[in-house]
Amino acid sequence: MAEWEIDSAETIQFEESPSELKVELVAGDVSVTGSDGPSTLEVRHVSGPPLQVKLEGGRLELAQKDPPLMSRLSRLGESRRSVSVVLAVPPNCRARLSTVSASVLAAGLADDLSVETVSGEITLESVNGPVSAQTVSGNIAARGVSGDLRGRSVSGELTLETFSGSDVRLDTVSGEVTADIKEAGPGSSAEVNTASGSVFLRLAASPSQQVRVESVSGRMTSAFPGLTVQKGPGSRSMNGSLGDGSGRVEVHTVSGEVALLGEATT
Amino acid sequence: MRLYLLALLSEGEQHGYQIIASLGERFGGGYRPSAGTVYPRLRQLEREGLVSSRSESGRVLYQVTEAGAYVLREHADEVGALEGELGRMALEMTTQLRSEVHRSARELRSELRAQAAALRTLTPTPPFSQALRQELERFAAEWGRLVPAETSPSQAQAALSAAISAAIAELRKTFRKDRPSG
Repeated sequence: MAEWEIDSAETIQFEESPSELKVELVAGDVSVTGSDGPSTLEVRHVSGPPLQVKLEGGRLELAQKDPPLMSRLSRLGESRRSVSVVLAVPPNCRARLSTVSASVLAAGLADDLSVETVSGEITLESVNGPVSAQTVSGNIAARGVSGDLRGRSVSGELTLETFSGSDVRLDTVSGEVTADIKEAGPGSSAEVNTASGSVFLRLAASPSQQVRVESVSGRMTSAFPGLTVQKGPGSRSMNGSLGDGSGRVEVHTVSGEVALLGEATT
Repeated sequence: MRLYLLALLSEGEQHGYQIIASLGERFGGGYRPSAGTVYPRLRQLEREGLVSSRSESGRVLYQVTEAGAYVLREHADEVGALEGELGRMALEMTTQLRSEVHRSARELRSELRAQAAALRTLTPTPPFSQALRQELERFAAEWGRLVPAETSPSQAQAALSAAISAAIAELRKTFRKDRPSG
């Protein structure tokens, strides 16, 4: 077991490569990259209590603890808790990253990944394992996700580029959802739920999906003939089967508008 | 990164994209360093006379020069520590990556919004929808404010999961109930 308490800029190269990573921070930023090289931690900056780092039995944990009781009581001189860290871990390291306002970047990871933050921004790039990303107000931008994705936010914007995984589920209350799922695998399923958030989905130019879109009052637009729009007094829907209907796209909103789009036309 | 590039090139001439691919392989094949990180460094090495380039059928091939090979030999012991270099490279790349992803996300958003606008028939938004949207936005802001500033990450985690599930379920229930029957 190895333990560190870090209160200033420092780089550590770990003797043992972790198979599990857990990070708990309040503010600042954390980046985690999957790498075949040695596992390293670069601490760029620490303010407030020292960053606690522990590596035992393949489990790497980072946390910036609450300040000691006395300094919490005396607000004068309490420095804001904040760390800026960059980690390189094996691509198949499972990771759980939690912050209050720190932004999070995860790239090149290929196993279970969970990222949660209240107001931080989440950035995902080339992640291959199942991913869960949640925020209250932070935005989520994900590119090159090839595993299943679950994204949730209250008011943050969810943007998904080049998604090539199988299942994706995106939920928000008022956050706008934009997703390019044209490269999702055959038989894939995409489900989006919002209350007032607008939903923009780009499907393949010749999609193969069962489509079901429902909303209380949201406007619906589709680039694909073959979808029937029905407007009732209390709700409206847009349904149909595109291509061989092997995949599934389901969108529910209360007042959020929904647009199903194809490739850009020049 | 300089020594690593020299070491890669000492194995033979390579195109820029091959170099980027080899670097990408070091990152589990999932992530590739951007051309913006690699090419400027190659050009710098060229200016220092450690690397030379030539064009072949419109593509540029890089190779290590005598001077470059000499530098590599001189730092032979550091070559062993190159593995550590990779860690540092990952670190340099992350800042660039973050802004790259958000920039292309912004582009996607404006592209799809424009497409939707072009497709949309001009239907005025009914006043009911507008009022509803405003209520929901207020609701969302309230939920955001409910998490106190001093919350620890694990408390925030639990509060967050509960907040999102409850918010969406509650709203959908409420509005389904209020929906005029017909």
